[in-house]
Amino acid sequence: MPSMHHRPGALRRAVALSAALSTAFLLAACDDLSPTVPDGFDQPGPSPSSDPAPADDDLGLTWGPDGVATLGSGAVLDRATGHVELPSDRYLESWEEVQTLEMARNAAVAACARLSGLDVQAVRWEIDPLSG
Amino acid sequence: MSQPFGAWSREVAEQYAFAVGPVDPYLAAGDVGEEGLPVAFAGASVGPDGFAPDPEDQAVIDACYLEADAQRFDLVTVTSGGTAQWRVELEQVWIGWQTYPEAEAVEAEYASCLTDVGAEPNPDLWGGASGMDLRSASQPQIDLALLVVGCKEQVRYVPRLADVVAAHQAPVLETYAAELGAYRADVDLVVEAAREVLELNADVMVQG
Repeated sequence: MPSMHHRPGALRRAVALSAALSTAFLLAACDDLSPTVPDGFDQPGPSPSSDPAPADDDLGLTWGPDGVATLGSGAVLDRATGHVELPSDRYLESWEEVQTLEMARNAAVAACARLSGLDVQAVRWEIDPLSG
Repeated sequence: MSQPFGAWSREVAEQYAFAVGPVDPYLAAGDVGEEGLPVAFAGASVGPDGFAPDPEDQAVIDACYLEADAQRFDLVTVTSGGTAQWRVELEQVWIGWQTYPEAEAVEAEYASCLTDVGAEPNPDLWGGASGMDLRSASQPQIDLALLVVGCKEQVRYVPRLADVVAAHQAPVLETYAAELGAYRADVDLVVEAAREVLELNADVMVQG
């Protein structure tokens, strides 16, 4: 289990999106990879680390040197992170921004609680995101 | 950005399979799954071990939560509760895209491919596979994820679905371009303020 439950006084407010985020496919960037291809499949497009020039893959996608391809519809695929940016994502709050807001809200709560005499170091609480 | 169509990147699948990877600076690199999601300073009324907070402490926390300094970063406040018409219409696309015939055709091709290579589609999750585990990056999970990725490459799963969703979003984005631009500007401002608050209060934040 994560390091949590340090002592009484945990914040009660559950993070609204935690349950949704727990099932989201959010993946971190990775590098220094040596992809293998299972039998029966075509080779993937060129690795961004091995070929810095934009190049079309077998499926007609043009990957930039950063491993990003922009579709005609405006959607953007990022092979290094596995993320897909849909056109609406340019306007909506991103997952990272939601996290920043959540943390800032909690920081504001903690700062306020400290002014009220609470030992905020002792109420630190890391939620189990999978518990919602 | 997100991954709305499941695992599709060979580079990512090689390392994380279907698992949620480390995306939070407070967490050590390499953590995935249960410990791999970002957390900060929020909590639950009762922890997984049955722990409950001290009522007096909780009262202080609750009062502070209602202060304006905290509420201005509340997601419901920032998003106006999600009631804007453009958000409603975008949500309709997001809820409904799996019912579009062109999307169903892509999923059917993917499922057929997956069966051909000896795996089974996940009946509850488009673009998934039976037996997939979001919490594990074990070798069997990586092997399964690579089968999934191979099929998605074969049927052009992600670019085709991304185009489907984008096509249905387009009229909404065009109709509400002004509102969306204004919303984005507001989000930029509040996020900038949030980052300043985090910097000023770094000592009260959890450090992984």
